Amino acid sequence: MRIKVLKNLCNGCEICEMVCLAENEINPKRAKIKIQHEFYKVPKVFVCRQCKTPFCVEACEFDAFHELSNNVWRLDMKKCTLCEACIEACPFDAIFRWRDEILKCDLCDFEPKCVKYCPRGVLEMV
Amino acid sequence: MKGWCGKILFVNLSKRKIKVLEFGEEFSRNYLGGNGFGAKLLFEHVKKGVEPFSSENYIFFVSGPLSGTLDHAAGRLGVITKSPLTGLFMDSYLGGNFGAELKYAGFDVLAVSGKSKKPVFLKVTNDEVELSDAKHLWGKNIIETQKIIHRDEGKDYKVIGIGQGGERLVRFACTIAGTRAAGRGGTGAIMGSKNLKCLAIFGDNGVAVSDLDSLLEFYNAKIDEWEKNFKGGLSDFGTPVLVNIINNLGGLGTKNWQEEFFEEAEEISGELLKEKYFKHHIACFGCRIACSKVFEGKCLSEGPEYETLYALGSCCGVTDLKAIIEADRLCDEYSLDTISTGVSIAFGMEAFERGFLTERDTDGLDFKFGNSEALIEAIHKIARREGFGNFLSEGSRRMAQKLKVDFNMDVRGLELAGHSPRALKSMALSYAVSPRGGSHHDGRPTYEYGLKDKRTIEGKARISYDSQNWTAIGDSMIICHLVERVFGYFLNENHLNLIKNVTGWNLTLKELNEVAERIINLERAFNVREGIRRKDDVLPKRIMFEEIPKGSSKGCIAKPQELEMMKDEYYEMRGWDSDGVPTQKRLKELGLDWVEV
Repeated sequence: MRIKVLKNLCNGCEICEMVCLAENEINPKRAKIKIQHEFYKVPKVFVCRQCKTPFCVEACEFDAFHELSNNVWRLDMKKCTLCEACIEACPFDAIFRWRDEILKCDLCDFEPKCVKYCPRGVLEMV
Repeated sequence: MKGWCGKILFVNLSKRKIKVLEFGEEFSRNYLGGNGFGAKLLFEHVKKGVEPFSSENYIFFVSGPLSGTLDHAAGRLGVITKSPLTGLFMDSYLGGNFGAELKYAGFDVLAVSGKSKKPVFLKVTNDEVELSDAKHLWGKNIIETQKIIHRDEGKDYKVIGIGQGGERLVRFACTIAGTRAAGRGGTGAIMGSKNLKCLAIFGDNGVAVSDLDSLLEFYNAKIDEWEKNFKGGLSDFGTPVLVNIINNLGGLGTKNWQEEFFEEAEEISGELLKEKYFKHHIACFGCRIACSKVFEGKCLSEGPEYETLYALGSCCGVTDLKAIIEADRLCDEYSLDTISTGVSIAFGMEAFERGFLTERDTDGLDFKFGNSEALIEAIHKIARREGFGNFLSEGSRRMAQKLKVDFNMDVRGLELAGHSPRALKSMALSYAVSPRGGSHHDGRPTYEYGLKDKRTIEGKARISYDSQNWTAIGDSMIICHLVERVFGYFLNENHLNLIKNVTGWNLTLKELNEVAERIINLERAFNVREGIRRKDDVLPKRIMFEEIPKGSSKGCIAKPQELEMMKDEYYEMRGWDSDGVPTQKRLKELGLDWVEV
């Protein structure tokens, strides 16, 4: 499974970023999904596509990724050295860094809040 | 405290000094945020008689407790200063995401005072604050400026600043963040007077909220209402959908308000704009309405909004949508308020048609209503303060004083927004007593648009009063006023819930109204200190002495006697004396006994 982004539909409200890791505080900069704004253009959505041959996993020298289920990989921050090889390896710019955390979407146990709360139905679980 | 960062960043540009002041719960309880914080800080820091362009004036960039939280449309920012257009209290707000970013950087308010000798820009990266040379940015429009900041400092920086209009001190220059404008009252000219090109902010802190589950639950519970209220209207067409609606109600300011029914309104309607020029929707931070639209004519623009279609369209008699899209883009780039720009140009057009100006005065422009080429040329000239543009850039009131005429369409010097004070009685009062003047955000027109009974003054003072209490709180939380369709036109349980979910406070409606009262009285006290009294709470002469000549509101007028009756009622509700001055008793009740008026 993965999150599919429907093309040219995003309005850039960033609600997905706000709900992503929200607990007692809301911090879109710590989200595993990113919206990028360009003047007068449709905002772009960046989120992990759960690749069949994950470049990020292959690039990791420290065995920090483990597979949750078919093709859904989670990053273990205890093993991560913040070398950012995974960020560089991702062809879709869908892995991010916030302070000392690497942020890669692992589908939130298949109930991602971003999909639930997106007001335009831009995101779909497929 | 949940919701606030508890920090105000003060930057003195003359001394190049930076300090951080912390505040506690008392300040938040009394003034809430945004508008309230700005009102308190401006009253304290800007003394009586300070010239707006002097180094003693302050400009406050304010967020609210809801900014950066999941609450609806809460990415907004307020910009508060003493206005170069009115010489009075001014607050103006913009959408987009800058307000949220300020919070993520760890500040509720950013306060700028003094005046830099050379152009500078201020960079804030969480708690790191840096003043940098802006020589390479000066002279650039604000869209280019933002692109340069993104190239040099990184795309994550959010920028608010000015184009050439602000630099040249056009009295109605605005501040722009992204493509959103804090339009009214000349906040951009204040930045220009301080040689401050822009602020670039990045923050990656979170904002603590009291009860995320309730917040999400409240968010979801309202989903159907959002759909019902905005689909087919603001979500699909944006605010331009109002052109036909308001024209059919007979309240669309046309040709400098000589009329309020625009025969050619269809040609500048939201429906036509969507059909011919629409590209895509844009939402402000955290907003599910997404009322903003990108249009493409000769060029791309985010907008025009309804107010722009009124000011640059019907008010100037212009029907060329492509020209309006271009004019809207130019105003954004130069950082000019589209409302004041349009209404000032409309004043010039009426003066030209009536012979008070000739082609010698207009640099050869055939300045007749409907001339879209003259409109575009005038905008370039205003931003450069060049020739005829220098005259226009002073705004309607100053132009009227120079020409010794009285058809300037402003209140306190601020040009009228696109909501009729003749067709709507509550708007007549709201404009007249508004701290800002001709703004449609000190008291909203929306509720009365829905009323059948528009021609009597009965109950209208109360509508204006209650509506102003909501706008003062809405601008303090800060949330967008368009949510009033879902959350209500007056303060109610919904607003208490919004505040509670973020802050954890169990306020009562009485307490919330008291905060609104405190803010409004403080703004009034600021203006009273500058000499404003009952005699100044009036409307443009045309509005008070000429009836609407045609359309559905034919015959409507804001008669002085009616206005005076509504003012009596309103002053009493606010606890002001018959001259419109807050009484000592009222100030004391509100904990404002330190305020000297």
